[in-house]
Amino acid sequence: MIVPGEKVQTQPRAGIATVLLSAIVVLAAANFAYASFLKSVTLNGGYRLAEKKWELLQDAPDDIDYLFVGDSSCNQGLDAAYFHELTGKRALNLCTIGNMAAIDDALMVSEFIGRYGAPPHIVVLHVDDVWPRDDESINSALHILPSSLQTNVFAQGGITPTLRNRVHYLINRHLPLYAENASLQTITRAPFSFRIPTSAHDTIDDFGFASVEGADEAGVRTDRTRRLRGVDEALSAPLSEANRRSVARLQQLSREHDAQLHFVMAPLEREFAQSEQLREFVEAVSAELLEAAPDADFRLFRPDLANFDAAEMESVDHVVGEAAQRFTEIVATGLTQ
Amino acid sequence: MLFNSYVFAAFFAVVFSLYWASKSSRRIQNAILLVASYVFYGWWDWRFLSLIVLSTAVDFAVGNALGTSTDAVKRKRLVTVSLLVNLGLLGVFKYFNFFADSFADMIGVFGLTADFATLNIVLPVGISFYTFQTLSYSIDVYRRRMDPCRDLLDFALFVGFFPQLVAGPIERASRLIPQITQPRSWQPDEAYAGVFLVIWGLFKKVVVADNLATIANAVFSDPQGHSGLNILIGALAFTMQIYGDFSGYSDIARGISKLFGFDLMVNFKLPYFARDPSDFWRRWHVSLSTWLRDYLYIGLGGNRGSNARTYRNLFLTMLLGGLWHGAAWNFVLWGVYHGLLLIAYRPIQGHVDAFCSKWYREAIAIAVFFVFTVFGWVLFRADSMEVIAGMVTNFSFAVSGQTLGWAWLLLYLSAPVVAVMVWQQKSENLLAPAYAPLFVRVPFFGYLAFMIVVEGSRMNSEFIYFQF
Repeated sequence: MIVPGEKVQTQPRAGIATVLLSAIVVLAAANFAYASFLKSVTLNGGYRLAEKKWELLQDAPDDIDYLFVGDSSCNQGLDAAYFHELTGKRALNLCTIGNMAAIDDALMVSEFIGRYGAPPHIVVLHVDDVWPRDDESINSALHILPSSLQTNVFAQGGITPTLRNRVHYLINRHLPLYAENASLQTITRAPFSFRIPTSAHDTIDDFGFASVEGADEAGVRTDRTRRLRGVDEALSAPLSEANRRSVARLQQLSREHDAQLHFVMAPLEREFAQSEQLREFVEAVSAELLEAAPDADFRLFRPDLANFDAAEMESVDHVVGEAAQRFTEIVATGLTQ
Repeated sequence: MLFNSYVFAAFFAVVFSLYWASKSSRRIQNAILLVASYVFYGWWDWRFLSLIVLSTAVDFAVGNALGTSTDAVKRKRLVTVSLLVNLGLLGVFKYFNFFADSFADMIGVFGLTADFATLNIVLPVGISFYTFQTLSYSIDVYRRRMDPCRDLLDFALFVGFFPQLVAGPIERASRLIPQITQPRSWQPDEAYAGVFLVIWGLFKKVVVADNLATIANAVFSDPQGHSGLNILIGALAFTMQIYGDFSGYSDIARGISKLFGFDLMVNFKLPYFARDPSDFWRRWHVSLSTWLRDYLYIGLGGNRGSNARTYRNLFLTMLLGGLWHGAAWNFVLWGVYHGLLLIAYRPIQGHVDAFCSKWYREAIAIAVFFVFTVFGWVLFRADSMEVIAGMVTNFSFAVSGQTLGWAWLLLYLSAPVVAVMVWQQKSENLLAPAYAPLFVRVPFFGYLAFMIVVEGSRMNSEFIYFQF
């Protein structure tokens, strides 16, 4: 077999241009098709949940007494219908995912007030490791906000973006083919076994609560070790600038509309809740939150508020099964006392 | 600075614009390329620029002194200075700790302790490539095969030319210096070929090599934890990874060079279609294999003496070729293995050639030698004898979900490369895909662009050969 070489050939200029332009056209068409596909089938469970919560907000009852905003620990921990049953107060769970942090809370509350007027109580619930998250990590989820908020998403979210932030956001928003959300790869890597994922985490009831079953004791133990390390690392800067601005915005909204702002601690696994590092962190972040939202109620922002066995959780701050009802009871009692 | 990074894309755009904006002056163009080359290299660690400058200064001075001297003894001394400086740099920065550790281990066997400390030496990126490149210059001038370069700027660019500085091709002075000293003009056909090489190289690196690395890394880091079938897939994945990684780098380097008006030597000529070891080394890392042939094998006597002498020369050349890759025993073992393959095939070379008279028989010979090649990569990649033993003695053929997933990934990523390789081989032109009819070329380029965007690794992982 002859060892091949390289033979450069003369090409018509039109042919070269056609080839190179065609490659760009193919990419643009594929990107457009994929963007359309993602509109109907979001493969990322977290994004799907957030989209559903924003849809719920647009079609929400207007006589809500308690509006819950926060992350996934709240999504599957606070049962708004049960809260109503316990207290006679109507509640709505609009909690999404940690990666949207308090920016999403402020945007949702603002949007809710704009549509329905202010609820008497706004309840914010995040796990500890959301508070230190900076623009960089939060930014990756902003593209899933509704189109009406996208015109000036950074200003509305209170983010001062870097060039990198802006590029990431534009890619996530307009170039899903190249976005970090590698959902297309989940299809190409396993085309024969691929199914559109379904998850209890984003199957919500009419009041936004996701009932999740299936504890993961081993996972909780691993998560505990990881999270304790994270708590240590975050102690020097427990509240990011992005979250600080959003909390201040929540304070401003609640003051302007005469709503009571509450900060509630996530349900915690017992051993994790008792750790000295976490207690130190909660003290540090409480002080900073209080500074940003001096009118807020912090009575329920304590690690010992609601503690559970690992057998009732899927991570150190996500309850499953009946534990969600118990957590709801504790919060309901605490808030209405 | 990596070819597969945004920083490099911006860097290239700036250098490319300045370079062609200065096309009226070759010297300004060369100065731009030299500054760009030093910035490119200094991006890793600016301190190691001093080594390139030292190598440049010594070989420039040696070359010029050789050009004016007719005294045989003096000429020999001069070329020895070049050899000592360049091999000395390699010895200190690449091999000192390896030999010190190995010596300590060896005398430890006899119950003795070596009482010296190894140095905490960082390996400068690409040192093996540019030292071999400058050495070829000194030796060629010494052998009167070329005139010395009288212009320091031109010579410095020959040593530091950024597209091939850190991982080759190891250019010959007699090929590259004339291109540096001549005016360059924009050649659309060459530029188009360059664009194809960049895209194809990028595909092989970020789509094929970087994704298959996940399989290879998993298997080679824990062979005991995998079935024999997984290990086979892991070995094949590394076989494609190293080809995609290194030939991808070479293609990008050559493509970029074409965009600046330079033509670097072809470094890979479809090596996995080799039917015997000699054929393999005519196709794999051609710039190194021809360097070793011209400056080492022939220097040792080549095949001019007895069979035994030829075998010795082959063995030593491949041993040193293996060691060139890195200061570790697995590379030595790989070099020895290829030396032995060359020796084993040599007496039967005529039979192999005769056997390959029909295409299907040649396909069998290629398949057989491919098995040897894959085994060679196991020796190359494994970092201990335990890993090698664990891989070659595992005959369990349990099929798990992971096996199927990896098999699919290997097929999904490698099949297009193999198909293009067949295309290139059949047309005997490595640029064949760039000249296919439009109805083939348009979807082909579209496919490459799509895969780079969708499947390309975002990790900006380094090229394997940077460590050599």
